[in-house]
Amino acid sequence: MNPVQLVESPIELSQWEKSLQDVDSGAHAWFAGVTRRKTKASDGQIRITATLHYEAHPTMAVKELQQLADQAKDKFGLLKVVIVHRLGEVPLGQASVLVGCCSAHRKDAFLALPWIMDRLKEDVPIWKRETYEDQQTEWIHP
Amino acid sequence: MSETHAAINVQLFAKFREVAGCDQLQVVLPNGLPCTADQVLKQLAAQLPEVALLIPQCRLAIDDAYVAADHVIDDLNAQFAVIPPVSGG
Repeated sequence: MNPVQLVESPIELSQWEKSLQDVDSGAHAWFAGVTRRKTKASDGQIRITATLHYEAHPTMAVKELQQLADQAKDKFGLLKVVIVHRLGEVPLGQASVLVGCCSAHRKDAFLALPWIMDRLKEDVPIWKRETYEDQQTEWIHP
Repeated sequence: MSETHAAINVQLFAKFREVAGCDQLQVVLPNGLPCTADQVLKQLAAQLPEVALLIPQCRLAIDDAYVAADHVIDDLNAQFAVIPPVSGG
């Protein structure tokens, strides 16, 4: 299973756990980004999301994610990295992204997860569209 | 096509695709080639005024890689994409 993927079906952690198996690893760390119901708007009002939709520049997104995984391995001495992002409709409470990594010791795996996520949110060409409970839609371009 | 009437096809995503009503737009380059990535984005803003305010935050990608604003374009046949601020995760 390619450890860097865009998928259109639910992301199940159990399907990916074996991807980090390595006898030299002493730490597996996982992060799942999950679609959330409440969003605070810039005017302070809380908006209620009904559902979310993700789209990507698919070839470029995979290339960027692969570069990110390679850079994280070099920077933190990781043994393996998994990055899976879901596209299409993602109902509330489900994972839109899953990042996993393993290292010899826990510190590197712990440090790598936020580093990977921060860069994913800066550079990987994936976008989400909120559909609010009043059926208004909005592309998020922060 | 003469160099003084060059145009490139730019892939559109997210709000840009929705506003344009298509996933690809021909961007006319009034001064032909060579031109810079920044000039392409500015021309795109002129063609899609509804999203012009987002253009300063956009980046141009050529053949699946970001290029700098001052990158000089000299190949009309490359794959161009405008990348608005991303929101994955």
